Amino acid sequence: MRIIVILVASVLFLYAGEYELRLYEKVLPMLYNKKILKVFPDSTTKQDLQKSLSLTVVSDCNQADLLIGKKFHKECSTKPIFATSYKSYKRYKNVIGAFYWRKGRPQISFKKSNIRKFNLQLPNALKRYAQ
Amino acid sequence: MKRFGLSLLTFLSLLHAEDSLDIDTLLTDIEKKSDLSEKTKLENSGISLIYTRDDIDRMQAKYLKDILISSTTYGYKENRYSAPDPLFQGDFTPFVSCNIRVFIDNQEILGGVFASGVGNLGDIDISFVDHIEIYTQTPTYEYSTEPTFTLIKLYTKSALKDEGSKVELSYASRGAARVTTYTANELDNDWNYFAYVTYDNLKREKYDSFGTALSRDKKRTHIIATLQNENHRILFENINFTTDAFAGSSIDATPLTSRLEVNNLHLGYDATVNHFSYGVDFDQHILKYNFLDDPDAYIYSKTSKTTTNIISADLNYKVNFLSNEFMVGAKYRIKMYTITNDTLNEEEQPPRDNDHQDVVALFLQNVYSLRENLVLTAGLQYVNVRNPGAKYNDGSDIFDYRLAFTYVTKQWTFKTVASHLETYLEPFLIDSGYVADKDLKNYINDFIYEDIVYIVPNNKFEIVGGYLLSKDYILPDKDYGGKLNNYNETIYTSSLIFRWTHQYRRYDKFFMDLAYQNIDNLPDISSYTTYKAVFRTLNTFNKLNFFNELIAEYDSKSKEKSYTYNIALKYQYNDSLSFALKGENIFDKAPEYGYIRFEVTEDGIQDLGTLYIPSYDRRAVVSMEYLF
Repeated sequence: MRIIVILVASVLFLYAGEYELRLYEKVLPMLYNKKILKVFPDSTTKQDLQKSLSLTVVSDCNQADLLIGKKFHKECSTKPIFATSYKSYKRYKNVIGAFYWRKGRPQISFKKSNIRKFNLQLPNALKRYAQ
Repeated sequence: MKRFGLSLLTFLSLLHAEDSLDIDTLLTDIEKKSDLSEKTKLENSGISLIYTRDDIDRMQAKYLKDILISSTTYGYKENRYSAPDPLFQGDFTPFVSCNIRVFIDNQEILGGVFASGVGNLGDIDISFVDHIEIYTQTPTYEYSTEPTFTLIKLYTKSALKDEGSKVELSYASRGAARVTTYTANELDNDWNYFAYVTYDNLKREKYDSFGTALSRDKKRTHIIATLQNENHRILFENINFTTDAFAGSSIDATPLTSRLEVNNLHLGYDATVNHFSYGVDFDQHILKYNFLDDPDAYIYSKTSKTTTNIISADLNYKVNFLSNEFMVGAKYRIKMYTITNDTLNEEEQPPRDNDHQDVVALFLQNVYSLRENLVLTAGLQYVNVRNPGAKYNDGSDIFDYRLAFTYVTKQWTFKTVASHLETYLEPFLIDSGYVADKDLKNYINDFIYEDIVYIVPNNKFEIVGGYLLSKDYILPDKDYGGKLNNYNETIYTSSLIFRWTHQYRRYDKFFMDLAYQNIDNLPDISSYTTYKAVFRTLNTFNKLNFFNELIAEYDSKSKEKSYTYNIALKYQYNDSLSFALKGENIFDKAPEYGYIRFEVTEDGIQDLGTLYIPSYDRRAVVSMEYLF
């Protein structure tokens, strides 16, 4: 019973405040057409992503469907990346999309060419954010 | 049981899946509700009032005074020299708000010999600010090198949220105009920078005093630059202004010329590495004053150039063990000043023997968690202040302490704060003509406050009740020709504040603040009571933002009721361009503050009556913002 209380509390807490996480949870599984995604975070996103129910954090980037964050080692560079800053969105070759703040506003973008490269599908609802 | 749990989780997930939020709505939620103050606010640190980025933007608060006017603790006042001075009481003391301290990020911005930066920053443009935190009743010793009763923390924007550039143009009543621009970017090596410049031509309302038009017009350039990464920050700030200094030194408030030129420069570095936080700051404040009155006036001319160089350094160590968060710190500050071209009625003034003040502060602070939701905070600070060469008030040793008790449940927070705070004279008063020729005692504030917060969905209620004893308060003393002296009686202040924040639709917010304060045992008035009520609404309809604010005030001394009504409208044309219109104090009924006026004749001192002037003008502002 105690576990349930903790889980329920964490779900309620999660959806009360962590709007960025909510965005990742809504958008990223849609790209992969999966309910649960394995993700490898960098140090800046790890803490938030560990609260997620639909994104499972893995400790080895090779086991991950997707990398989420700003900075990754070269050995992970073959994996698709969802960037969390404008700079990393521009920096990495394998970026499929990004969430970042620019001009004082949160923004989301997807890179069509890399979405195709990794055989992912951009749902209609997200097409207008694609570049 | 596990199956039940999983079913419940699935049900909750479905609830959220069915929540038909589109991506744009989610992005708007992130914009409006992501609040950096959640990361920066100082827990267990006095009573706080936080203005989020969204609040500031929608209130169209372009200057810090737009925030301070609704503060129920002080409000916003300008002194005889037109400088922001929230504790100003109408007399001839050049500045009294010394223990209201202003920080940009984690670095204190000082105001030269006046110490507090609120005189320069109280009306500063705040387009560089992400959010503002105001702490009252002796906040944590972590930031207070010197006695601090109120801490105003302005957090700068950064490339974290504001990568890109912005230009903002505004035009206001009486031909006032302002240009602001900033740029922020991330560099390749985890560092990022933010650079900001504002030029302001502030045209203010002029007020008549016996045929003389008193002016507070100001031209100001304000530059801020930060270079930072996760653990290190370099901050540069420069405020340069010339201002008509209102009544200035004229005791009957009829100056022919009253003009101040100020250049305030700050360069500082602060860092947090493992358990240590440390910083080194340099502040330079150059103040030139030029005053001229009728040849038969008691003070008919005055000039001075005061240059103050201040170096501050601090080192703090924080460690967690068992249920304790223990912090120890040491701070050092030296304020070196020189006064040149110091003339009064065309006579060169003798130089003061004291030319600097040394302050050494050591503190211990422990936050002990008795239970997960029950926290006891205790702090002790020793301050040694020295004014070498001073004839009077050459230094003192101070022990300040504070004790706080916080109990938190899911919906309730109870915080009790008790504190002892001693305040000494800042350099501008040492051996000056404003202070009685004697050694003064440090004045003491002993207080206890209770803060109760109750949160339910979409509502936050807060009650703050306080009782303050002020001993040896420093006030003008008739027995010493109006010079500052310790007041022998104890002043008792009781206050009660009720706050309610109500989120009544997704982006619509109502805020109410009702405050009562009673001060007993002041020198010329046995009891002084003030009432203040603030009502504020923030509404969003598609691309339009509306802001309404009514501040109603009454005090038992003037028995005058005042109403400051502010209204604003912002139209977001697209992601890059917005237009805004704001009316400030539109009924011209803002509170008026008294400026005493005297004339010195052969028969003695003649009271010419107090001049009542508002510190917040009536004006309309149109502005445009373009981001790229």
